[in-house]
Amino acid sequence: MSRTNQMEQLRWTDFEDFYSSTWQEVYRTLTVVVRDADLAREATDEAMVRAYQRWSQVRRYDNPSGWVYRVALNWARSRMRKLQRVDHIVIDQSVEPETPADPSLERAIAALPLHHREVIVLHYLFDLSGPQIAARLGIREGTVRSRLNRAVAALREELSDDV
Amino acid sequence: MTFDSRIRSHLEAQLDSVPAANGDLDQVLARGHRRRISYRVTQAVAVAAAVVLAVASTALIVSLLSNGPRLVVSPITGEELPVISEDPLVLQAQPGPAPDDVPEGTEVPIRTIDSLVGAEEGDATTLRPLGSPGGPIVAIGNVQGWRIFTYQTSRRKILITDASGQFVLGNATGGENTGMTIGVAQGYFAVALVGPDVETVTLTIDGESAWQQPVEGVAVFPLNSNDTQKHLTLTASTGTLLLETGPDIAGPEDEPLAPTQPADTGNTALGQGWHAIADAPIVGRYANASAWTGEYVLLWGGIHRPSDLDPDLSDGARYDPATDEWAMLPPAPDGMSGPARSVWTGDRWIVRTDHVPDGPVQLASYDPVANEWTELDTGPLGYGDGYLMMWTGDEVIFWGGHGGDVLSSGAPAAYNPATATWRELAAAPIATRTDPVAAWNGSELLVWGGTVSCSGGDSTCVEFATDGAALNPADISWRALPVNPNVAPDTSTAGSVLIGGEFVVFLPIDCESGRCVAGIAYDPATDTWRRLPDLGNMEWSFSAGPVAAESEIYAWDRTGEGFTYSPAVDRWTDLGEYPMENRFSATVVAIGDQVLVWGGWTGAAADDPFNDGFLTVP
Repeated sequence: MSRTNQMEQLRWTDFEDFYSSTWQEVYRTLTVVVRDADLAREATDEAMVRAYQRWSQVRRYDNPSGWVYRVALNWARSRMRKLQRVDHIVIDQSVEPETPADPSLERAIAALPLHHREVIVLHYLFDLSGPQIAARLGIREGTVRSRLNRAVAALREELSDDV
Repeated sequence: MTFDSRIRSHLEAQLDSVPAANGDLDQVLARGHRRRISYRVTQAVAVAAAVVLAVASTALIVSLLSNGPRLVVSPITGEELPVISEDPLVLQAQPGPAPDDVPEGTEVPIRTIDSLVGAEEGDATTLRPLGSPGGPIVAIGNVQGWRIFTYQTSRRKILITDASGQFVLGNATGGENTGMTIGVAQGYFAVALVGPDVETVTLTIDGESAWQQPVEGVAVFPLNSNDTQKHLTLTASTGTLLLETGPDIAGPEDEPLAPTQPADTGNTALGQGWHAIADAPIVGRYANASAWTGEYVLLWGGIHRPSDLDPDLSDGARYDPATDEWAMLPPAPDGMSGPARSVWTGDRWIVRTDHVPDGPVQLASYDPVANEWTELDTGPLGYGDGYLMMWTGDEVIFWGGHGGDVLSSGAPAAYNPATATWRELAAAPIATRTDPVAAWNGSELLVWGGTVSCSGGDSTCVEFATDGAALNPADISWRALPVNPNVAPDTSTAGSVLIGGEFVVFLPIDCESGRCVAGIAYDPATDTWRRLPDLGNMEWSFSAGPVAAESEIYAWDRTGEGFTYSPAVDRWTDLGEYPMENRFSATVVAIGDQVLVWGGWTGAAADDPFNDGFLTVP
């Protein structure tokens, strides 16, 4: 086997392991954040293509799956913009149960801007700590705290009649 | 059920309802190998249309066609590209069928390194001959196994790969006669970018010297990891010292000097990105004064939160981008606080505050070397708001604005800090106004737009001006700028920059999503206006910028989406969203070819302004 093919084989195997362990996690998280399963699937695939193209660099990052998530989210965001959707008012029935158990909370979360919704999802749904969320999103811990505080405050205000 | 558990169980229900799906690994790999499939070319495409890319070593060259040209695998895209010349190594990466003889100036889809990643199919630019500014990438040398390529744009980039060609290790950018070190995971280099008058470049490491003849204006010296702890100099044969560093060059254990990892970005374009800067030791703010001294970014004054009992701020700090460190500024003269404007004169920072609506106006000068303030005489100035303040190289010119209920009248005033004297200049041939956009081009102060009183004498009515004028302070003369017939009356502006000799003004236009931004550019040499290419999804107005950083304009629209414009190729590039919460009235400072964005505010009364920021990576 030529050196080229050997290196390609190694690269491919390495990437395959990463893909297998990461795709579902990114897709599911992104679906809950952008509230559109089809868009999340496309965005995850696109991010994985880009990760593969840059695999020699991406594999050395501290948090390659976080990089893929951020690329996927940004791709989804750009796509939503091009389709003239506003981030925080799209509700895709493909994500929602037919009858949401908590419709007022559902409306409140849907009304959050994307960057607030994602910290809510990562904190409450995936139990990530502030540093873990910061690493996943590539932002400062202070920014995570700020976004989480603002998001929770917005939800509380929206649900003040319920709480 | 607690509030937290309510959120948690709701999101868990959402997660359970996510439709099952699987990715298609084979398709991902196929797309990764064959990205932009339409860009595969045959050798029939003209040599003049070729783009040279980073190349793999001989052992890695793969020929996939038994009867076609030799192919190499691009380390950037993974695609196979035909070799059309061995020395210098030239790879052909032009998409689609094209005539055998493609003349200069022909528009064809073309790949350059900054469009390899993130480019959309069908991107087109004007064909450029090999080696011209904005043109293709040329292999220029092989230094101890490292392959060096120069990418001749207006910013003079170089790329370095290892012998396998599979890794792009460095990406240096600089103007003529600059030196730098690049430290990345696989190696270290001292790099000099020089003009044609330089015959050799000499590197010294703790006094021991080595020299090279630059090729295509580039000299690259590989360093050992322990060299980064020594005293390095790079000197041109003309005698210019290009670089001198001490023992604290960053190595792979530390933050790289030329980061290849986009630390804080989801933007995937090669060479683009940003990294967060350290939090400032001052509270967040907007409407503050700011400047770049060549060494520090200075910030002072501004407003914290309008709902505060006393929102006006009277402190400031300076930021050193080389060390990512902040330091507080000493206290400014008594009484100075709140919204402030400023200019950098080259060795002094002149700051003005007005304490609107009651005054008084104050003026002070900060000396970063002595680290001290000096209060200045305010001469003929009355307190005001929305005035123009511009440095001409000799004087600070003040004009226009709104003092109390009366528009400041007539003539500009000019302050000379070297002589501490004032003079009044001639009245402008256009109505006085608030918040015009302006630029100094070395001989004239160009002024345009702003807000003026409506005709008819109603003092409560204002409208947007769409005229402008140019002031020559040397002979105290004004001339009116030509009217732009494509600009509707009562059109506002969102800022301006001076770039490439043109005065670029940004205006709102109608677009599919509502209101977008367009640019018009005035060329004093021809006394004409032109319209920049539209970018349909740049939404009105700006959250940060516009600012000119060397040869590109940077701006972030109201959604936080970033854009750069290069006059050299007359094209906009989408940077993606900046990695912070969206904001308005952020401080934006050009630092060479980088841009610092800091602070700003959401506009909501209950929100604190921000004190975080980021620096773009060129």
